[in-house]
Amino acid sequence: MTEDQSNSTALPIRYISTEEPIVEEWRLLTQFTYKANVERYSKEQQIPSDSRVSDYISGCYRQGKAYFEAARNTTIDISPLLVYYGATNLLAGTSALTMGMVKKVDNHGMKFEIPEEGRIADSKITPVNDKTGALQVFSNVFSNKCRMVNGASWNLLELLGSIPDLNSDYNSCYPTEKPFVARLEQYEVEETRIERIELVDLKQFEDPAKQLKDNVLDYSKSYLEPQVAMGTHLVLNPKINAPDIGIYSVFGRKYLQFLHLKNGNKLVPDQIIIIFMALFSLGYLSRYYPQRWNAFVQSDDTGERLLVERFVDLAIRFFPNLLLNFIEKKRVQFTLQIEQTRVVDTYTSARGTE
Amino acid sequence: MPTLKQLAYDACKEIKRHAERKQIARMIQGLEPPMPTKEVPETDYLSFIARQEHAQVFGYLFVSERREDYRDNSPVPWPIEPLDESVRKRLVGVQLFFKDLNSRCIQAAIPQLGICHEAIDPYSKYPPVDLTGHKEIELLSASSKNALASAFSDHPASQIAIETIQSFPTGMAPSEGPCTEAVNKMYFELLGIERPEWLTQAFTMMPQGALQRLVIRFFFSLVTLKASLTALNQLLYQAILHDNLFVLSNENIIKLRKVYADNSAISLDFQLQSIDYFLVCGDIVLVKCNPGSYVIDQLCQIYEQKVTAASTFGDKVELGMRGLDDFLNPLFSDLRVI
Repeated sequence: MTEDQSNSTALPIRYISTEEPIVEEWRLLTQFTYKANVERYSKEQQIPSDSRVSDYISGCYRQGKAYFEAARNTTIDISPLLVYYGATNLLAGTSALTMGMVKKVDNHGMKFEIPEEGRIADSKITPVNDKTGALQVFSNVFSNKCRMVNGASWNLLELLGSIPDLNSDYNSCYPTEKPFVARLEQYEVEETRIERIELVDLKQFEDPAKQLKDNVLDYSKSYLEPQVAMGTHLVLNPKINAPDIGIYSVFGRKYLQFLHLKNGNKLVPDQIIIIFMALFSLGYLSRYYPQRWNAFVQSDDTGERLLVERFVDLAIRFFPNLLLNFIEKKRVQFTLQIEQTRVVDTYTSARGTE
Repeated sequence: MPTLKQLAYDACKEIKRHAERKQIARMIQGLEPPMPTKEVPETDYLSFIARQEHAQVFGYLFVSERREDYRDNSPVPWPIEPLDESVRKRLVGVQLFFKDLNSRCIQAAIPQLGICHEAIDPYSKYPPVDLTGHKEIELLSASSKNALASAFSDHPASQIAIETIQSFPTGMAPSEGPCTEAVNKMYFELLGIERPEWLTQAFTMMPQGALQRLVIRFFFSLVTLKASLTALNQLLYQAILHDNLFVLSNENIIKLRKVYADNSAISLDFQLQSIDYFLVCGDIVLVKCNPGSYVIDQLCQIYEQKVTAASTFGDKVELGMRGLDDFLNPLFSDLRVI
């Protein structure tokens, strides 16, 4: 395992070489089913520890793992619901681990509606109960207290459109809808870091540069004015000493996230919360609208099913990884690359080539 | 006691308030010809060539007067139209202002060294232009000019010049022509980013009292005075043309490449679109940025410039600059050790 600080203002990256990332990420998470490991973590992080909380954490991670394993081995008929339950357990356990206490949660903190006809993506989720609803409780822990409960609703479309790894599938499935993330190409040109977005990825926006400046939170703190290059790309030059505002996919591809305007509030929920809400939507749909869900999984001819399956697979793989990142305060990147001697340019270099 | 730099800033503000300033700026900017088209393929290159001379208003007057020499000596027969008489009259008026200011500063700095006065004039490398028949446009009051001259007289290089020439053996003091030629030659060698090898050798291998070192020290001090006066001319000229000094900051710098000790030299890349006019060598800018645990707040003069445009990674300008100290001196770090 190696560590790399490739950007001093971004989360450090911890690379873990493995052929089975799912096995490895659960191995790291389920260490907290052992009281000793919980106590060690609490001591390192200077969090108060408590025996009952340790038991709670252990139970959450054990059940979470069981749900995720079950979801991997079943069909789309019930897998979203299982992943949702597993996610709830992981969130509860990780919240208790990192806060040193069990947060009171009375219900999902979300209401679900779906139109009689139309796309699955048109399902509506309304956050409720900002005190003990799961969504807001977990948003307070994992998403910097992002104010999800404000009377406004979300639809599954915008949640799926906010997930980097689904960007390509989302654009294929809903070609006329606007995405909520923008994929970045990262380069180092003459020792200068440069990022680019293909203009075709932002074709739904009349003024892509304005879209970035107005709808990416803290864009102007991190980047200079976007430039159009050769009519094909927007070039984003990071400002010197600027914070990293990107979010990352499973394989470490960087994206910029567009904010969601909800009742006058500019919201940028963490991927953890976005995935959690989308899982709730699909889990609730599959559990309480079996006739609708059954028709969808049996005979969807729009291609939405492919996207939903892709999402569920992604959640199984990536949701635990995101929580691991939160626990370790690093971006844990699983890789197939074998360990070898790292070549560093100079004695004072912070980075090297592999 | 305000420094030369502070007085120069005050002078810039006074120039900006001058009634004719905007008209003069529009007139100079209006000398830029329109882009050539199929219908009008050729254009007037006076402005383009004048800006390459980096000689402020003098450049326009000189190129207009010597346009046939430029045409004859150029591999491409640039079409150069003479300045319209009304334009020329105004430019002469401005150049007379600079001439008077320079004269006051030079006289204040090294009154005893009359043979060196021409050497440190910013325009001494050129034959003179005809400035007769027109009146000076008094962009600054006499008291402002005198204040600048007084501050210039405190330039450390002036004392060095006076002391070293007194140390020369009898009969060795240069005469005016050779002195001017030597200073002009050395000026262009010294004002890149890297110090020339012969200067490094002078610092490191020659004893302090050695004649060779004294000679270098003497001419170096004259070059420094010339450079400071040139920077002053440039700063005031920019105050005529532009509303504000261009600031390179965290809002437009792409990369800080090198920052030498005391900010004596800075090289960086910045984003081309952040400025609405073209920076050229000789222009003065303010670098004010926070690259991390320290802050840079440095007036600089550009000595190297490279533009990358229409690339797949966007547009940028690479600048090599020298920092200007309180005497607008771009050679301040070397002056301390020479």
